[in-house]
Amino acid sequence: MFAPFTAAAKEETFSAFAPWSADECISAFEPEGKKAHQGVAPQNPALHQGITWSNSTVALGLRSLAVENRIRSRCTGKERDAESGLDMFGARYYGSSLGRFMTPDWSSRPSPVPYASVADPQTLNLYSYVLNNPLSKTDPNGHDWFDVDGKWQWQKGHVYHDADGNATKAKGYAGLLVAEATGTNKQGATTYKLTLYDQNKVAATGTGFSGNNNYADTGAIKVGNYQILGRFDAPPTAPNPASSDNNPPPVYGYQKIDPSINPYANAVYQAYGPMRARLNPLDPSGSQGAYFHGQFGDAFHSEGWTHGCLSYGRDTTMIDYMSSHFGNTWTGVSVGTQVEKPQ
Amino acid sequence: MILRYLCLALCLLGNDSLRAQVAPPSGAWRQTNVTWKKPPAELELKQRYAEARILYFSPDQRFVLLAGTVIQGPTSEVISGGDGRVVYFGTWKLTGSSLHVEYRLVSRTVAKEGETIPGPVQSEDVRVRGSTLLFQKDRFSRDEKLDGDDEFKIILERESVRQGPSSH
Repeated sequence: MFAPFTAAAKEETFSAFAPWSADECISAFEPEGKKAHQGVAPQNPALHQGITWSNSTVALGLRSLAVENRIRSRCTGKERDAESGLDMFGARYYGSSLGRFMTPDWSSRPSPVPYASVADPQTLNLYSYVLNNPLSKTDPNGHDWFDVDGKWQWQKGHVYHDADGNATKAKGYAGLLVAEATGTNKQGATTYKLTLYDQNKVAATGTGFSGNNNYADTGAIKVGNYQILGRFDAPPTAPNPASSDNNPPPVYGYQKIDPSINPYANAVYQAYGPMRARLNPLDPSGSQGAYFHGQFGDAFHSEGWTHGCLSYGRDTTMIDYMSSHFGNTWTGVSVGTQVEKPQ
Repeated sequence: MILRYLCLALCLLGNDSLRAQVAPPSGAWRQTNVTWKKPPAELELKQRYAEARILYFSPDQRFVLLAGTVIQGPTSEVISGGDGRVVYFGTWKLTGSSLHVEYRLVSRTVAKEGETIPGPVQSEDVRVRGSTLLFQKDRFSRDEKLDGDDEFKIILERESVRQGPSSH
């Protein structure tokens, strides 16, 4: 295939474009003269994943070798390999002309039929894309997350197995945050493209980072799936009574941090920004006390790196949306799918 | 009389033997007198957490005192990446049976008003009681699961850059 795209080249090439909405995808395949999307399903839904950006880029005079080789599907937003015509979903390649993944679904833990449920025979097909229903479902990472009855869930039973083989049922999700690794910042931390889905719509996009200053191999958030508990924990006003060292109490849901409450709350605000949310692991081996938090103050924490957390930096758009829309329901978080490898 | 001298000699010999048996400390030692708590039940996480202090003795006689949240799973144990932590850095020295540490504050997630970083140098004797260390008022036992924690790797590298090799 091809070498990974550098973050800078990717940004330069794609920053001017945005994926089409579901309606735009449908309209693009309807006959000339017909009004856009009148509720009639297209004849071949699989083709809806096959539109590329090549024409747009030519029209804008941006054609270059990089663009020719690095186009994206405008419906799924995934990068397409011009040579093979396959879309990279992170976990595996998807063939838009076939409407099928090129390799069977897989999980990082051994499983006879990954992400499948006997109760739903459709899920036993490990090559299918969003249960053959691309008009109402999307798949951000190739592992088949999509909305079911208005909630984000993993496809096919959404049962996870921990290191001891114990099964854990994932919750129903209202939102899904996908963090895809894009490169490294000047502090040595891994940078991420963040996409927040609200049902099957993109609610917000942004950038984040995780890892340590100049030691990229340490302290980065672990690749895997997390969930944010749909509840608000009390804002910090005093150190944890169990800590003799001024540390705030741990949080397991969302926590708003109001710097005006008192000097201690302000100090926490300087470290974490106006809000933080605990990224609770689905796989216990990935447990490292990670949070999704900002960096607002002038303390050492505001330098573009973290201790194993995922930071949204200073742009609060995404976490504001999460707290206002998903604060009382579960939010799924999928991190670093591009670097996940099958075992 | 001869018997008394013999006993005294044996006692002194015994003490010397004990002193010689104090091995140089290594790796991570976690505070044992902590209160463990469980995450909310709805998360179905098989883990518990506690506020704890950890002493880390590197082979090249560098010393770290870290206060943070420790998370224990069925097979794993980590220092929480996102909960607050306080880090002191310095050196350790073993003289006979006496373990001495010198250190100072180098970082604190949630700043304390009026505090400067790095803080003043402090020194302390760590008492060795069999397989237990007594540091200030806390008791510590060896915790090999924390030896490879990223935190210590990062602290040691960072402080080497900040303070240069002459500091350890």
